[in-house]
Amino acid sequence: MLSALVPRFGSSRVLLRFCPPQRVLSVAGASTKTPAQSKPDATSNTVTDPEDNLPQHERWMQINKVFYGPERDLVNYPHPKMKEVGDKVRLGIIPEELFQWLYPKTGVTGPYIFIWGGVAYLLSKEIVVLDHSFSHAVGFVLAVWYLRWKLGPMAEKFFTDFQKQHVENIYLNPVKKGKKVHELTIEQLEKEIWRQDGQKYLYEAKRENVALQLEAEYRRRMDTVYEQVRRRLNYQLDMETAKRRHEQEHMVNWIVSNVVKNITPQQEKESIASCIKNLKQLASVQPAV
Amino acid sequence: MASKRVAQSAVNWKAFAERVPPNQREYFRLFKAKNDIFVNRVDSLPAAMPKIDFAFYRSKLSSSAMVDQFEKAYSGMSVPYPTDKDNILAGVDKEEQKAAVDTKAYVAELKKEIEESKAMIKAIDSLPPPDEMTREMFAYYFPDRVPNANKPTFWPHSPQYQLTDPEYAKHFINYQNDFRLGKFLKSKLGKYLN
Repeated sequence: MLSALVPRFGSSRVLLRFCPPQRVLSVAGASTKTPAQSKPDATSNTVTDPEDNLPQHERWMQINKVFYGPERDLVNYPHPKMKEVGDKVRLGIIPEELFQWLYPKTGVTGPYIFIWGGVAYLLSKEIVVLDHSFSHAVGFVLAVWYLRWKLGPMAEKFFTDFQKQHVENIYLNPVKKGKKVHELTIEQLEKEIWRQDGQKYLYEAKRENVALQLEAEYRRRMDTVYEQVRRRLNYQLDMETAKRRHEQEHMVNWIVSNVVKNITPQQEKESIASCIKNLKQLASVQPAV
Repeated sequence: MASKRVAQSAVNWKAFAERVPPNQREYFRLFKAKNDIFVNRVDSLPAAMPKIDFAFYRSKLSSSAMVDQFEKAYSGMSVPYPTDKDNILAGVDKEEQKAAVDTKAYVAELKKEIEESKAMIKAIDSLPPPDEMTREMFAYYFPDRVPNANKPTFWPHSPQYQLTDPEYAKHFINYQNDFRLGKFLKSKLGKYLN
């Protein structure tokens, strides 16, 4: 993560050229103490060796104390800030400061009289000699001025944008990204802490599962008792019903067989004759269609 | 004996599901399915002892004395509530206590990490704006990005050319081997080369 924070404008190659090592290590390198001995106390305003295994944030807060701490007079000696644009100029090249410096001494026309007077002086004393090649100088200056007038704003815009983008790429964005990562981490961890409440539900559910199984067993037992009693009663009922039916059937069979046994051939013949007679009578009453 | 009778799940399963981490969803689903099975098993059986219509049997059966005996026995029947023989509930309680201790330690660890992250955010906020950052400040803030006299580096001073970089160290060893090979060849072929 930390590597994401590190801007690249401090790439070693550039710093080797412009940043003398002894200056960089003025505090850390001068110490011959071992890291254990040079363990910093929170009150000291020295910047310690990065090898002291101090957490990054503590080290940075310590460095912040060095540069922005209470011992530094930031009101009278503020940190120099890099200017985004140059100071104001007149006529493209003459600094405004010169005019401001001359106004109290010479009045508002003074600076111009100073400049043109100077030119007149240079010419009259032949410090600037108007030989044939002077016309080249005039043309050159005019060409430069023209280019500055035409292309200057474009170039300015390009370099300003480039600089802004560069600073964002190498410093602001990594810093923002690092901060974002930590914010996300905090969010995730807080959610994780919130999730720990799930333990309560888990054990509640486990206990409930045991209770539910006991309850199921209890209900099963009751159901068994009911089933057994019902089955016994139904058995009694079925048995009595079957017995009664059997007795009835036996009685009917016995009576019928005894009656059939007592019928004589004479009685049978008479009965058939009576039947035929009945049939004939029926046929005469209702003729066939 | 008859402890708390349960008929349905009293656990707030919605709140529980919200708190389950994504990598444990599957276990949660299985656990919930098990609970559903238990609830269904309870629901499939009657809550109280079912009634038997003894009057019907009395009218149908010849000996009402037997039915009376049955009725008396059935109404006086008390089914024992099953006990937690293996003492699973105590086991669950013990497990919960252990989990509570573990959770407490875990939460303390997480809180410590949160504090560290908060401190880190504070430190990041304290970084100077880029237009105030001088080379000196840069060297203090990012010491691993500037030359260190205690740790000299090899030309061209970029990380991939240092011996601490295993990738580069590999090349270096190869180079040494090549050098040794060169010496070996020179010792063998020197007389011809001269």
